[in-house]
Formats: sequence, C-alpha cells, structure tokens
Amino acid sequence: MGIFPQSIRWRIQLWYLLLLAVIIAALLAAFHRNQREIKYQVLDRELSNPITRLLPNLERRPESPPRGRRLPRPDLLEDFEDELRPGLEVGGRRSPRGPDPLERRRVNLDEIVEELAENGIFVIHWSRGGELRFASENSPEELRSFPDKVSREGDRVSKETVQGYREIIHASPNVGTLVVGASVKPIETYLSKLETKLIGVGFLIIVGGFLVGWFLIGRSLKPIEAISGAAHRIAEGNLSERIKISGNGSELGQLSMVLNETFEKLETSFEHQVRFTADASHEMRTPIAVILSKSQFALSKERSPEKYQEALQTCVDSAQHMRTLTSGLLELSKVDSGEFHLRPELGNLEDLTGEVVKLIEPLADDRGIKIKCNLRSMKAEFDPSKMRQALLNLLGNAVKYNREGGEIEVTLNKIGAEIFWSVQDTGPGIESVALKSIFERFYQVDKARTRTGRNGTGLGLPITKAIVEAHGGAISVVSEVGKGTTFQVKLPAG
Amino acid sequence: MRVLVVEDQDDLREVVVETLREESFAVDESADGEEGLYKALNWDYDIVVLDVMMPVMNGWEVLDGLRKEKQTPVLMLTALDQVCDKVKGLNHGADDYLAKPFDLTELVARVRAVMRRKGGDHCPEVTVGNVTINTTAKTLRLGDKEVEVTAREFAMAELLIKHRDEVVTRDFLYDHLFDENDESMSNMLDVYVYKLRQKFGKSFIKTRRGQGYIVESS
Repeated sequence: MGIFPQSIRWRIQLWYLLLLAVIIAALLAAFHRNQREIKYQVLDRELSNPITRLLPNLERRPESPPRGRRLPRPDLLEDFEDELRPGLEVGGRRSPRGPDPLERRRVNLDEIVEELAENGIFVIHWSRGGELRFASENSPEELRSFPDKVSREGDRVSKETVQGYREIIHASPNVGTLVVGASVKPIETYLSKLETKLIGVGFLIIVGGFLVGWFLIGRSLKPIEAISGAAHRIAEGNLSERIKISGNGSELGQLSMVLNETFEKLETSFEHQVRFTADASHEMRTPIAVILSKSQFALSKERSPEKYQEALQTCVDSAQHMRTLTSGLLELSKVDSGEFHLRPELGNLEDLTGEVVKLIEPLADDRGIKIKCNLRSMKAEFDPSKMRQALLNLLGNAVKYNREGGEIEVTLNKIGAEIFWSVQDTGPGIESVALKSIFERFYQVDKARTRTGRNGTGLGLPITKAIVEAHGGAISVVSEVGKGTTFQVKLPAG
Repeated sequence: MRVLVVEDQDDLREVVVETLREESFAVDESADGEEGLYKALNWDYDIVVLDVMMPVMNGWEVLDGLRKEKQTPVLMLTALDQVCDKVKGLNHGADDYLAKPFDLTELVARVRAVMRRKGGDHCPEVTVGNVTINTTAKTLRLGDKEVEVTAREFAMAELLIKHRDEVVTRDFLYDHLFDENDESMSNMLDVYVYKLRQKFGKSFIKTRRGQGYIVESS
C-alpha cells in the first residue's frame, strides 16, 4: 500500500494517533496539575506551621489577665497557658521561668525567624494599623508594603500567590497582620522540569503507539490488501483469480466470500458473453465469406450477364441470411440486457394462431404438408407481435424439419389456470442428446437439415423461449426419433 | 493438378470450385465430410481444400481418416480462427489453414504454395532445359520468349515439370488433369502432348513406350 494520507491505513493511523495524543495529553496534564496542587499544599502546610509558633510571640500582651477568657484557638493553649500563668499569680511574683517574658518573646521570635529563613521562609508583620512592625531579612522588598485587600476585622487566614511568592496571611485584631511566605520558584522549577519529562514520556508513548498501531492496523488490513490485489488482477483480465479467505467469521472474511461469489458470477457471465460473441462472429463468417468470394470471383474477369446475376443473387441471399441473423442477435441481446419489453394487450390467442397458420400454409403446401388445427377461443393478455413471432418460429420449424407430405397439428387448450399451446410435427424427431441443447443459442441439431431452407440461424428457438418466458410461461419439447417432435408452450391464463 | 473441395455451404463451395477451375485446376467437390473422405481416399488429389464445420462428419474427422492412409496435402478452411484451432489443425496434419472469410486470391496462392512445397519446389519459377514455368504468373517461356499456351496445356506442362525426371503414366496424367465430371477422352492427352512438343520442341517431352511420358531436367 502506498504511503499517502488517502490510504485507509494512514487515515486510521492518524485518527488513532490523534486520539492517543489527546488521551495522553489529558492524563499528563491531570498528573501535572495534581503534582502542582500537592506541592502547593505541602508548601502551604510548611508556611502554616510557623504561624502557630509565631503568633504567641507577636500577640499584644493583655493589660490585665482576663478571667475565664476563652482561648482564641485550642491549639494555642499551651502557649497561652505559658503566658497566662504569670498573670494568674496574684501578688506579682516573678515567674520562676527565667527572664522577662517580653524579652523571652523577642528571643523566641528571632530564633524562629532565623530557622524559617534557613528554609527560605520569610515573615512580615504589620500592626493592626498597617504599620510595618517586623520583616525578616529574606523577605522581598516589594511585599513589605501593607496588603490593602486584607481585612482587618476578626481572625482570618488567607492564602495567595503574589509576584512569585506564596503567602499565608494571618490577620487578627490581637496580632495585626502576619504574612508568612516563601518563593514558589523551587516548585515552579520542579514543575517545569516535570513538564519537560512528561512531554518526553508522552512523546515516547505516542511514538510507541504509532509503531504498535502501524503493525496492528497493517495486520488487520492484510485481508483488504489481499482483496484489492485480487480485484486488481481480475481487473487486469485474470477472471479466474479468487481471494484467499482467512477466517470465515470476520467481516473481511465474509466480504471476501461475497466478493468471490460475485467474481464467480462475473466470470460465468463473461465466459457466456465471450462464447456468445465467438458464436455470433462465427455464424457471421460464412455469409461474409460467401459474399466476399462470390463478388471477388465475379469481378476477377469479364463474365456473362448470367454469371453476374447469379453472383448478385448469391450475395443478396447471404445478406438476407445475415439480416435474419443480426436481427435475431439484436433481439437476444435485448433479452440479455433486460431491454426486452412486452407491450401486452388483450386479445384472442385463437385468432393469432389462425393468422400464423395462414401465413405459413403456402410454405407447408410447397412440401405437401397438411396443417391440422385444434383450437378454441382463448382470451388472454399478450404482446401480439412477439407472440406471433414465437408461434411463427415454431410453425416454421415444424414445416422446415418435417418430412415431405407430413402433418402438423396445432393445439390450443386450457387446463385449469394454464393455457397449453402445442405444435406437433411428423419429422424425423430429435435425439435426446440434442434435445437438451435445443434451446441454446446457435445450436442446430444437424446443419445438413437446414440446407433446404438455408436460413437456419440457430437463434429461432432461443428467441421463442425468451418470448414465452417474458410472458411468464414455459416452453418444453418432447420428441421421438422417427415419429416427430412436439413443442409445448404453457402460459398462465388471465 | 487435381483438387478436392469439401465444403457444406453450397454458395461458398461453388465459388471456390469455379475459381480453382479458372486457375486451370481439375476440381472435384463434396458437400459433406463423409463423401469428401471417400473421394480423398479413392483418388490421388494434389490437394484437398477442407472445411471444418460440416454435417455428418466434420473436417477433423475427415483429416484423421485421410491421414491414416494418405499424405495428400490438406488446406483447412474454417470460420474458427482462434490460435488454438489453428494449432489443432496443424497438429492433426493439415498443411495450411485459412480462416473465413478469406480472399479468393489468397486461397489460390495458398493452394499453389502447399502444392509447391509438397513437390519440393519452394519457388514458383522452375526451369527445365530451356523451358521455364512460373506457376504464379501462369506463364511458360522458351528461353527468354514467352509462349502462349491454353489452360490445359499449361496444366500438363506444370504436372510434367513437377514430376520431372519421373516417368508419368497416362493414367496419372488423366487423373490429375481432368476432374470427375470431365468427359474428355484419354486421347485428348495425345493432343496436348503434341501441342506442347510443337511449341517447346520435340525433346521437351519424351515418350517412354509402354510406360508414359518424361520431362528430363538435363
């Protein structure tokens, strides 16, 4: 199969690749997105954790220990306990825990920030009023201005990504606004590397898919190649070519079978056609040979008027024979091509038979043949000119192949729903071997017998048969050697 | 030269027979294979022109029957011109093959060619002594001078030259010069011999007393 996009193989291949590419792309994109989400979740967690540690160190110290005050968040309990304890100690006794709590907070904050900075996390803190209180050294300059959009009311935690930094913004009336953030650059770098890898993997899968697909499609298209190969060879004229069927169950196996049957019919009808043409041209050759040689003979030198007349007469006879032959051939070719149309009209078969008998009587008289009619009125629908031709053929044969002084009996009868019409002669009869082929084109029982009439074409009976069959009837023949032959036509009545 | 034409189509047979007669052949005819085979077996024809498609007995059967006994040259005449038919014909022992419809001139040329080949001559012109015969142009020359002869005289000269250096009997001459319908008396042969001797010299045809005539090439 040639490599061009019109071929089925390429088309299937391209569609398959397109589908594969879409699926792979969707899968990889989903995977990429998923990875991104996971990475951001991890980062968010990393950023959220320090908040809980930072908050206690940034909270405003209460003026007086609020009694029974509810803790803002349960997870801050420990730190609050720590802070609340001194306040709870009535009498202002210093805590046994060491230095001044404010001092301690400062140290704590620095430690935490430092620790965070090592991990690339920065911290920025604004007071409730939006005044920058604190910013770790690694915090980007552009983020140190107060984020206006952050609400200043109540405790609120939000996340956002700004200018390549991921931030967790914690706003509360107590602390002000705390931003813990980190650059997303490592994540993005990781993701872009992943993207490259995924594209590579996707590409490899598509290439692999292409190869596997090419192989599989090729395999499944093999029967089609066999079919097209066989069809090609048939088109080139080798009509006996057939497709080798592999796997009767498959669609292609069935197609092959159907095609083989078609080829079979094609071959038969072609052979039929070839034989018919050969026969036809063979039948034409003899009269042409006569005309050609007779006229050449007449013209080869000066001859008497009688000789010229005789030559011309022979040519006319041969030409007439050819005319009979060609009109017969034309008629049969109409039958073959399905252009043999009847023009049926209501009429009486008895009248038609009488008419034909009258036509043929002079010929019969010449040979001393008597025609007996055994007819009854029979109304039917038929094509009068075609039916006349059929009957004329049968009666003509009965005269031509009868013995001198013989008899012909024509019978027209109706039995049940069928009309029977028979022509019986007292000729020499036909042997059963010949009887089988009698309706075949160009078949002549014995050419010698036609010599008296010299116009046997071997087409009369096939045409008669075609006419009868076109009327929905059937023709049959019975013959006994030495006694005679009977042709019987059966037609549906009404 | 005597020819048998076996052809069932009356018009065609008539015209072939007449043409060959005009070419100064002695021609017999048959309308069917059976009669044709009978004649071919009972007479020594110089050539048989045989049709293939015939009633009673077709051309192949006639040819097979003939070949069992004789090597008479046969030219098959038929409406079939498929290669396989030609091959079949030649394999059956036919000497040549002509498909219908044919040109009468081609038929005559082929008949002559087949007879020439059978006689061992490949050229239509043969010289014996100072007499030259051309079977195609149908001329006889004495030296360089063309001599006018009748059809029968030509046929006799042709026959004797074809069988040169052989003694040709009067019966043989009679059989090959006159067809079955010819009522000519055998003493007509003496007339033709006399006339040929008059025209080409006494030594052209020698008489072998009690045997026949001979034309000697040297």
